[in-house]
Amino acid sequence: MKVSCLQENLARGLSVVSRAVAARSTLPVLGNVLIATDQGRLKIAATNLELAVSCWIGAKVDEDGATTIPARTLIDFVNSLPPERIDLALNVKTQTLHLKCARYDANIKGIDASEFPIIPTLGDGKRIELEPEILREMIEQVSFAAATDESRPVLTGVIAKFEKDKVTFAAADGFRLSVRHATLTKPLEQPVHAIIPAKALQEVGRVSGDQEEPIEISVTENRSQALFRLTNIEIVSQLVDGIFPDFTRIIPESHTTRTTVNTAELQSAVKASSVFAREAMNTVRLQIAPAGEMGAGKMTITAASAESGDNLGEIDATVDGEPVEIAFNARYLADVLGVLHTPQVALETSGSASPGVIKAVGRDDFTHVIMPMHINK
Amino acid sequence: MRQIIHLDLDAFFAAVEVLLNPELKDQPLIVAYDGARSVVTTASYPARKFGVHSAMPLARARQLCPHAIVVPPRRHAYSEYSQRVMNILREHSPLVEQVSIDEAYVEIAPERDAGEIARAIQTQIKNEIGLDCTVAVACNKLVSKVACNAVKPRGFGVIAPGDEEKFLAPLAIERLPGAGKATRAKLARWNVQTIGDLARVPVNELRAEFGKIGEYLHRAARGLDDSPVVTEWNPKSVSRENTFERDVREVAHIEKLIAEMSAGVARDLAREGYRARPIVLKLRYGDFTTLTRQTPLRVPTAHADEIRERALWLLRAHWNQKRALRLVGVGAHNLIEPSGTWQMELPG
Repeated sequence: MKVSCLQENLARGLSVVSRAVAARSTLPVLGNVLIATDQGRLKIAATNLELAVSCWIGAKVDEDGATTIPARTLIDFVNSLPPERIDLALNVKTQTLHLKCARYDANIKGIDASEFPIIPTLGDGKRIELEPEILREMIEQVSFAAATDESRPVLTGVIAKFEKDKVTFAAADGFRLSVRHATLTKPLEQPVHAIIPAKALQEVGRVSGDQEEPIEISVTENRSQALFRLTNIEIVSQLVDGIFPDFTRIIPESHTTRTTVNTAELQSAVKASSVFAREAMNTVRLQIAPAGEMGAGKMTITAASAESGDNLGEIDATVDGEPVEIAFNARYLADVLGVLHTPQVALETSGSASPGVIKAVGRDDFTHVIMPMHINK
Repeated sequence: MRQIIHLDLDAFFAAVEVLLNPELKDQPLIVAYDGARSVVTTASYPARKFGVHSAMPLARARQLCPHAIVVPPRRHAYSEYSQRVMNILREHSPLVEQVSIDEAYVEIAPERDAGEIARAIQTQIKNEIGLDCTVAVACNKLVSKVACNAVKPRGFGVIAPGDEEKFLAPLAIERLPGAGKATRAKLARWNVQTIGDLARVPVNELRAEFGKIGEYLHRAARGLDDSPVVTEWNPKSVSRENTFERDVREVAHIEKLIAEMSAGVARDLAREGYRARPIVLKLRYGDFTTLTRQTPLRVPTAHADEIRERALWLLRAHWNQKRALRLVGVGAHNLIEPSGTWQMELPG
């Protein structure tokens, strides 16, 4: 193999695939990235067997070939090079990759490319197309609510339901639920359901920043893998096996209080209270009072810690319904407020022990449910 | 009139070593870490005949009794036997105060015969566990403890109500709890040799010298004590454990036991309205190596099923099934009070 490419292209390509490199594996080749010529371009790929990311970059191919190189060594070295042309040459016999860039030289020992797992590519099956900004926002608004511990594996995934012209993403970790709907430009004949690992979706979100064309999604016939095709990038993820709980039943159908506040104001007040909440199981209390003799409606956000003290913040609120006091994990509030993207947020509650529903005011495509903290009043 | 039994296990650590290794029976035995600066933890009665006693430097003990067998302490074994003794005490009365690993007070209801119960406890501990102990009955904790020390080992004593002062009077002042070296040095002013001598010192003089302690000394010397038997706990954890008659390897048997203990832990939690955070499994193999492993709960619980499920998960994860178990325990730790805060779980 004999290839030349620009340092910045190689660095970007390596960055795209880097999260799919196995951190600790008994299989050494999974700690490597595949470097291979592919129809006049250079293909870079990594996989931890759960997730595989491939990326193609422009290159001048003088001689076809392939190898795998330890990811950490290659990434760190390439990132330290000047933004100039890099010449790569493989000694097939020793599987040593020679890199030359400006006045820098390196020889990195690799493992034969035949040991690298075969990564499935997008077949001819039914493809779903989604605008990149819509998919990115869906991922952002839903994937953080997925569980990070493995005690209930299905909850580490995002349930993706594609039906006719509708797509729904939902994730829940047992304490909170996030649901987002969107419309497909090309309706589907057959519905597709898949539980996609939240981590894989977050990778799709992370590497799709420059994407302009629609992103193609397909699920393999046996529903074991999902594939995402971007321009010059392909992501293949194993799907989570199992049955996702019926999340529609978790969303309360009614409420006794609806409180509308300014999103940024609530964000600031929650952030201020977090300082005290972090020593008190992250608990912030919201006291919601409708307009009345005491004046305009307001929401009071407080936190108290036995060690460091307490605080109180107050914001204007439009309150429709009963006064209520409810406590939430400050992080859960901060997480959802950070992905709303609307100036106003609505909180619908039915007392201090029932789930609270958070909605972006003016949009009906996003619903977030948070279970409150049990507190002693 | 109250009835308090004081129980003290005789040469406890040494006695356990003999139980675990019968060849040591009737030998001068010293339980101590073997090191240049170590001290005797416990000496068996045959060793005590040579003047060896606990807290003595090991080197000195070896001079006094060169043929003594020295074994290192095995805390797990002692605490397990201690637990078994305490369980026997609790069969006789709910009012048990464990003072140390080998000492406890038991309060007996006035209408029952405390002397008979003390005898029964002594016999039961000997028959079921194989340990010797001394028991003494009196109307308060102080006198029962002094009486117990006076009749050790394998002793039995009853101080009839009203005889407290008469019983204490001839005893050396060292026998009185609270009369340590410094106190005794100050008491030399009144030429106090016996507890009776102390009882004759006017209370205002003691008060002037010792303050509040003076009042205590005055009352104690006359056999007066109204301190309660303290059984109350403000629990940080609740647990159940069970030592098998013989070491056990059968999974079904252990799982069944864990289910029973989980139900017991859940009952203890429910009674007080507490919730548990981590669930802890304790495993002890035949050679006394002990593991405690814990797993957090997503949501604090008081449910027997959930406690059992977590405990069984820990069992599968940590039990080396090739090795038979001697003891299994299930515990709930970092308890949250009913008024506490926790993250509730979404329904469904």
